[in-house]
Amino acid sequence: MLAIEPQIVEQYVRTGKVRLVFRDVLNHRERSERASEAAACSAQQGFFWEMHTLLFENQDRVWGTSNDGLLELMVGFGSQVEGLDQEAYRKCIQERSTLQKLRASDVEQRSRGIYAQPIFEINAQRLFGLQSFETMSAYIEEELK
Amino acid sequence: MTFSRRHLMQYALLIILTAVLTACASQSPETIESIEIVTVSSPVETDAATNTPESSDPVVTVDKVSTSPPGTPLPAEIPVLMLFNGIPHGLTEDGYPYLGDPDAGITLIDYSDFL
Repeated sequence: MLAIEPQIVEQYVRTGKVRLVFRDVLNHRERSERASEAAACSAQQGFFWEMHTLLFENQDRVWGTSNDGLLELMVGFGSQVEGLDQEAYRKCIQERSTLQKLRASDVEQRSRGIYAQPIFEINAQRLFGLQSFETMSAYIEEELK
Repeated sequence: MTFSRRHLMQYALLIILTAVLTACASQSPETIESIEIVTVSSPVETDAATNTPESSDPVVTVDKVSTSPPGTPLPAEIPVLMLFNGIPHGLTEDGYPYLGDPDAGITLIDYSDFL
């Protein structure tokens, strides 16, 4: 939801009304896994949202890289996150220490019908596919009543 | 020693063959490296969500593969968006990243692939 994320964040998250949670969907095998691992390894150091933005902004670069080059691509993304401990980050993605949890989470989500993406849950409401800010806002406002 | 017409023809052919081989060998490797390999495959082969309704659709995905060697430095022009500055963030009890007040009345979960 990167297109409307700034509006959601400014209007509802920054104001304390909404807590935004991200959960990975792994639909494109190695590419998805490598990207999600980069995010998870960044999250270990408190830099998930920076990496999340980098990954969404560079989707074409991930698509344009062969599986053999994905590790180095993710290392390169890490080097753009100021404050990230590069050595620990590289070790994390090289050892694939977050992969098992990511896969397990994906399996659990699929068992609940979450296999396409994006899907949003606003408390108990589930929305399928990309949403406009107006639609998302309407659901949030309804929950706020 | 005299050259017959047949000998002259053989020499001429040899010179032409040498010229052709020299031209082929002088092609630069950069030209070859610039070729982009494009493979076409069905979602069933490339999509982990093979048990999804989408997988049965007759959609063909195009999977581009770069020939850039691993470790090629990235351009340093990409700024990291600082949208999240000053907002509480961390991991939920289950270990998922969150942004915003952990006690907010509404939780918005974004299930997404980074691709």
